[in-house]
Amino acid sequence: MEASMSDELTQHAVIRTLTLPHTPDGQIEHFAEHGQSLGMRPNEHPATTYAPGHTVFLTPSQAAEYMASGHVAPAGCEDAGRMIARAQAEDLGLLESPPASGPSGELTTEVDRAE
Amino acid sequence: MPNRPHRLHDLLRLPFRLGRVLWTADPGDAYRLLTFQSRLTARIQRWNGREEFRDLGSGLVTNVGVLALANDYAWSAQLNLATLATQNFHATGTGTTAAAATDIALQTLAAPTTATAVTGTQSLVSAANSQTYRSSATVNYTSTLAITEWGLHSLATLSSTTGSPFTAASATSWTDTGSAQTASSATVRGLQQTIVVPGTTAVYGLNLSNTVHVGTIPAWYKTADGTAGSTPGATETFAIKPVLWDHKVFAALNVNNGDSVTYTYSVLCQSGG
Repeated sequence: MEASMSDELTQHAVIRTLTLPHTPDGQIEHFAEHGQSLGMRPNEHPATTYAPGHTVFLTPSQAAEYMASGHVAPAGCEDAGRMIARAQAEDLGLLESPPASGPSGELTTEVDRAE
Repeated sequence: MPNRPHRLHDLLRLPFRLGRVLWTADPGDAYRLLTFQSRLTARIQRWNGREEFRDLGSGLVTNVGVLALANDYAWSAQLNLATLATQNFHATGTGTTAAAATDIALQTLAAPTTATAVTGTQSLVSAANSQTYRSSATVNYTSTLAITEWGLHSLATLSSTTGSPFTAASATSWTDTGSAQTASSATVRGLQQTIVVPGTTAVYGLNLSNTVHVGTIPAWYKTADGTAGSTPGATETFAIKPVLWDHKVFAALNVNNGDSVTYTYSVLCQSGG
């Protein structure tokens, strides 16, 4: 379903390059001329790629998923720049990565511990 | 007096339709109004394979667009946040009121760009004495619509109320509820290249930088006429929106489910002045 203006979108900073489909679930509802629904179909619009440091607005489920995978910093984060630097160091093998399946906020904890 | 090209006055109209002699008080070298020359075209691919082409004419670069441009020296260079670099997100709608330079958003967004604009492809079209920025995007329509407006934006997400309402506002700042923003810096975009739009007072502010809690703007400007606006109420709701660089309203382009329209926007940047 297409995200509507009323969906709660929260601001996040991208930590690792992230590609998002045009709609949160990658589908879009089609309609016939008189408004009759033709059902959900794969969304054909190009995805948008966000580089580290850029801003994304995410639905709660997207935010949970991408925070857990270390792709975005949580809303309200003050040290996103440090998290980006740390992620780049991890990806280059210069630092040990945090547990892959850590809960949301794990990356923040790691940064705090490193300080 | 505002720093703008001087007006040209008709001094003499020559007989036999030979033209006019013009006069200006400007002691400098500019002799014309310097503007961006924009153009929007639409290539329509119907669901049955038929192709059509429409020249939608010149667009209208907005006040908020040039405000963002004037701050290009300060946007994050590391993130490539120069104004035209960010202006690559196309949305269309069904509003029919004529576009104005004071516009900050489309009037009535339409599917499939009600919430998220379509990402374009950017290019430089360079020729002798003609330098043009171009952005092109294809909108795949999913329903029957009379498309009458188009806009180019600095962000895919067209509106967000994250952190709303205000808990304070001043002439050059606003404060959100709950520290919901990501702090901006040279390496983190945060709210750079976005605007804040209060829910009650008809003004907007360009977000120059922000902490998790406070956004900094140069001033509040009225959405009606672009003149200085009053500070919004300290508890008003607000929305974060992208910078709208150009807004075009045109005669209806009728689309149906399955039609695709490739919008190509070009802006010629003129020298001189």
